[in-house]
Amino acid sequence: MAEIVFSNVSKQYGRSPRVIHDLELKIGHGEFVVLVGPSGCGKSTTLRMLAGLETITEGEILIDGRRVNELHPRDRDIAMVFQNYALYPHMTVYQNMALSLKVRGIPKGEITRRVKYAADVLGIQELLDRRPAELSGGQKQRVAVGRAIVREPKVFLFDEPLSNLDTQLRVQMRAEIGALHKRLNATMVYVTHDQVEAMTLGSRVVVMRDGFVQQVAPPMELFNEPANMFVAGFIGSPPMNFVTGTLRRHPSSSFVNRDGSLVCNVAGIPSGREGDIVLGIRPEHLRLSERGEGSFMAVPSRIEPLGSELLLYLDVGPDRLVGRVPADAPIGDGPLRLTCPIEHLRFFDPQTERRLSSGQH
Amino acid sequence: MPLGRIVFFVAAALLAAAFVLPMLYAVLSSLKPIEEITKVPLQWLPENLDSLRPNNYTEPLARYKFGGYIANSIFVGGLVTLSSLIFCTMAGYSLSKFSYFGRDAFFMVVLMTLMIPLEVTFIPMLIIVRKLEMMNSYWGLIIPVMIAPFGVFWMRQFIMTIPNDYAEAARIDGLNEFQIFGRIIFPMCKPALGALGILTFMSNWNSLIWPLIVARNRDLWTIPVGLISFQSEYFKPLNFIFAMAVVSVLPTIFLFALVRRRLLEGIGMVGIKG
Repeated sequence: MAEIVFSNVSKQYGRSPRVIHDLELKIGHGEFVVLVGPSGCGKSTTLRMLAGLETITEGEILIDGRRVNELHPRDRDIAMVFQNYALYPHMTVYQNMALSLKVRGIPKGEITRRVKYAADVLGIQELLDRRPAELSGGQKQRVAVGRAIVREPKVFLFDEPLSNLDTQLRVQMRAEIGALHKRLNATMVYVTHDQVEAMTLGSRVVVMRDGFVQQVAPPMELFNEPANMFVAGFIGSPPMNFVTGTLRRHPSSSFVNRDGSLVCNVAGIPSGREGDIVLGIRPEHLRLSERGEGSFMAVPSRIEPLGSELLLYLDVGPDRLVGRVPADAPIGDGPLRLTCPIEHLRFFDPQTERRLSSGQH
Repeated sequence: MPLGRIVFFVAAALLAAAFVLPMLYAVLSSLKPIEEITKVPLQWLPENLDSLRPNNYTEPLARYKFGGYIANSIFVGGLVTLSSLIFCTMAGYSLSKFSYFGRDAFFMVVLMTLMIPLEVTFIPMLIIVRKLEMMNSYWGLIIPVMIAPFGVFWMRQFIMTIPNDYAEAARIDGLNEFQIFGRIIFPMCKPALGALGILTFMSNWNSLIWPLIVARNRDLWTIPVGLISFQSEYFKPLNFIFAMAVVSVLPTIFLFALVRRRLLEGIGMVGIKG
């Protein structure tokens, strides 16, 4: 277990623009932190700086209070699982797992013990004599994790380790990595672009965009209390609906979209702000309604059945919303009456895209 | 059978014949007495079994020290191939995986030297070898050709296809840069090394002019120099020349058969045709 601190860390390649900007992040002992974001957001670069595979332009990284900026990767007491596994093709699984211990001069008996323990944990005992070319994707993944386990490092790093697996195997391996974290209770930093992996694995999730940290929070907090429109749109599938409109205080506190076709009562929210605003509603919070008050009409342009649920693509005046309703919901051919509970409405500043807290409405 | 396939097979058969027939002619001629070889019109098969001359093989080995030439060719070719594999891979690794000042300029120089015929470099090479007092020695035969620009280019192209993740994983595993090269990168280059090895060995095996210039001492002669030495102004023992030419080709055929698959794999993986 180890504590990791990123203090004001920036990264720049030559004279090109910075790819990481003043990163401040503290990862606690035994925490499982997931870095998530779209391609090019800087999540892998952040992980590689922590691993020592990239230099740090500014700031410092501390592992257990020790500055590691100038330390060689082998001296940082970390282990890393790569996206393409990076198993040495000319070595057997045993040799792959044992190599790091061998070069560190660990006695042979101890190497065998550790490799066998890792193989037991991952259920790969029968693969030890095989070469990587003779393994399936899932088996390679396990061996790559095993290679990290035998080191008994302070920190485990994962760089999109599941992205080369098919969907079914990915779900299985996701669960196994989660279980492994519980079993080893080690500090783990995991990079992915898949929000489902981030939400299911991370004790905290770091959402990144263009080299800036957007929000660091536990998964459900990210979902329920996104810091800005980017996080709100990135976390959740389908993403949060955004409707541009105005917040009015007279005759009653309400949100009205551009043509008045969507009016939401916001009377229950303390209001200190009027004028242009962006309303955010999650698809799962849109509900079919029979009552007229606080509801609005929407025309379904497309319906996608997902088995247990339906995805509704709805036109509300100039706005397009996506709703998620149970498969047995009474959907006719005509317009639908919808509502959204006040507690699930989120408001964002149209200029800064930051979420407005209750006191700012 | 479609016309395209027929044309393909005919063309392939003609091409194969163009390579096989001279070899077949050499093998048959190597068993004939010299009078039959020089006979006009050309005669493919020996006239009768009694006229077969197996001593075409044994006599040069005994009388002209041809066994020594073969040993020299194996020794020089083997060492040049080994050093070429090691140093070209090191250079290729450096040029493909490390960033440093002047790297690309250096690679351009390597590429440019590929375009200069070897013969053009003989005079400067000879001057250097003389100054280093390596004339008439194995060093003079080996050191100037220990690393070839083609080999550097070949290995660079191959190593570029190896993802950086392997070296990075090894760095995290605790290997130093020499261990990464020796334990990870070099073994991963096997397909390209097989191809480069056989190409280097064959080119060295067939090399005539450089050994002819450097090796004045008969004890240092290689096979091509030995074959040339058979000829004098007035006498050309074609029977011995054919027999020894067949002997000299055998190791390369054996080597090719041994690494044929790896050679083809290597050519495919490097993505350039040799």
